[in-house]
Amino acid sequence: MNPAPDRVPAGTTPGAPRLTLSQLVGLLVYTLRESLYRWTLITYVLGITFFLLLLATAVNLDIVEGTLASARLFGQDLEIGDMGIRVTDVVRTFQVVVITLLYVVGVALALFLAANHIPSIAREGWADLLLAQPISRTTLLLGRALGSLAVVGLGVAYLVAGSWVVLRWKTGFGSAGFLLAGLVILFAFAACYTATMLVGIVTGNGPVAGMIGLFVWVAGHVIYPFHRFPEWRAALGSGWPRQVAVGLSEGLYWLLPKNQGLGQMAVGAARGESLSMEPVLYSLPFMGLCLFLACWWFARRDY
Amino acid sequence: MGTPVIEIRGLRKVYKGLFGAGVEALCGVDLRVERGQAFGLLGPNGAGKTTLVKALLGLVHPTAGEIRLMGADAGTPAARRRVGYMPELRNYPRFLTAATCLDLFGRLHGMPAARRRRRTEEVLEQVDLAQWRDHKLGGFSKGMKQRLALAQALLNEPEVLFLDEPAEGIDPLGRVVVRNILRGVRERGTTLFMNSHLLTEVEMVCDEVAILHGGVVVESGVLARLTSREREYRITVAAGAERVAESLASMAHAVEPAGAPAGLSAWNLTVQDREELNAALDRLRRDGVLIDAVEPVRSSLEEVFLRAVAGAAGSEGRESRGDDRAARPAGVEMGP
Repeated sequence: MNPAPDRVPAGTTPGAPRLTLSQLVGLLVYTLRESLYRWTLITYVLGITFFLLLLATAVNLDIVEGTLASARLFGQDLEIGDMGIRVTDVVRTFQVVVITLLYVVGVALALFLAANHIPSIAREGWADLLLAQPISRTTLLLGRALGSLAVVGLGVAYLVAGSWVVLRWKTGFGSAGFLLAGLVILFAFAACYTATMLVGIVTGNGPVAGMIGLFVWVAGHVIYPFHRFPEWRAALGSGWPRQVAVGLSEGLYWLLPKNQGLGQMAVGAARGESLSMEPVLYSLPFMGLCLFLACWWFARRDY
Repeated sequence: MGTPVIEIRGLRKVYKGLFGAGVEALCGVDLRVERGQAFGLLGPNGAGKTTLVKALLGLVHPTAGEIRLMGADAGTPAARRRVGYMPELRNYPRFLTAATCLDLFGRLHGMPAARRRRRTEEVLEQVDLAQWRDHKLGGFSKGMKQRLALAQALLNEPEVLFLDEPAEGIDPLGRVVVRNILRGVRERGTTLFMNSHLLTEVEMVCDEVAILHGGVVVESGVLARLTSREREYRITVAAGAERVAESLASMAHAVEPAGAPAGLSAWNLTVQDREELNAALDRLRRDGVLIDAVEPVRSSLEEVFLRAVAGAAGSEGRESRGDDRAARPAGVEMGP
């Protein structure tokens, strides 16, 4: 048995900012390791690589002086004729398709896959060990959320950047807006994930937390037309039940993240349009509220 | 007396139920542990031992009272910077290896990369897990997880080491390893706070103990003092054994034969004070008895423990019958 060396003098212990940074990095690495073990990251990478290979091999475009002369999909010629389709339109259409797919399917999938990250740090026998370290409960919770965001961010970045590279290679045209759309999608995930965090820390149940995140994701879309279109509100009936239903839908619209607006923002970014930051700004109160309640609940619990 | 490493005053913890009714796990505990001590916390199941340790580490929030850990409020991360903790229940993620698990805890302590690597190798070597450093924890046995928990607790070279049932689930050889590590750690000045129901382990490692029962400290103090039987000595003789009873009978002492190694004889002698003991020894020598050894008779920790718990249970019984003289014992302040 080897004797341990002398204790490190107290003066060499790191200051608070460096300690917090070290802790956040530790939790980030821990979450990445967990994702690797559970095949989350590998599934992401394999799925996205398959999609990029498909994009690279199945789509063949012949560009002549900035317009599409001919196009082949899976070896089949497409009827282009003399339509004068500009290459920028072709690329942006591809980008919109990729972003729409990623927004609709990717966010829901990510919410489901990351749902257990928060409850797993609060389970008996592991929470004790983590909380007995010199880490604040807020840092522990936020560090873990940061890890989840990093795992999802890696998947989004690989898909968006990979598609951008393939389209650029195929057409010679690349749009920075496409990369921006990836960031908007990541933000949409983060907005709904705060609800997953809150429910995860309160219930300690990953599936329930994931379902609530998905509910917020879907509800944010469903509630939008009731706010936007008077005819949808008119369909809610008449009298006091209508008043209640309209009040409820308006309340939910302002409470929940602006998922519909964020989707439009992502598609707009992929099209290269100028963007309004309203959906981002109006989603922040929901995120702040969920984060505050999650941290408050976590801080007051006994383990 | 310097600043105590652990200082608890009037600690109460009530676990509240859903509809207001609660369970009082700790009912006004006062405790003081000085630097460098090896302190054992004993008690039957449900006595509040784990709650007390968790309160010291900020894992549970006290209902009332004050806890200071090395002068800082025990609930703050700053207080845990120089602390190691080996919990009773260890639920490690299966995907981590021994090395990556220790790396995580090193980062949570803010240890630089070089020191993390060095300490990981050192503590794995110490607990005899070096050859398992890159194996996933999912395949570790209970005993290996136990040793890893000790490695994790030692990683940051703590000034105070909290051990919750450290010998639970380890085979006898493993216990010797753990015990030797703890002795080595203690020799370097680390304060040990051990919570265990394995009395022999506590007896072999600790020099002070407190016995918790029903959330109250019912007995505490230096182990040697608690286990010594007042005014009772064992006299072992090598020759002249047949004259012992006769010599001491005239002095009106209580003398009882006791077990002795082959070739020797022994008696337990009860006296008024040291002067009387010395007078008895003088008499034996005068009568030609060859004395081999004289030692104070000690109770086992188990006897002390059972006496303290039974006494507390008796007090509670009298209290519930309304006897004011038998009030529940208050927490005892510990000191060197």
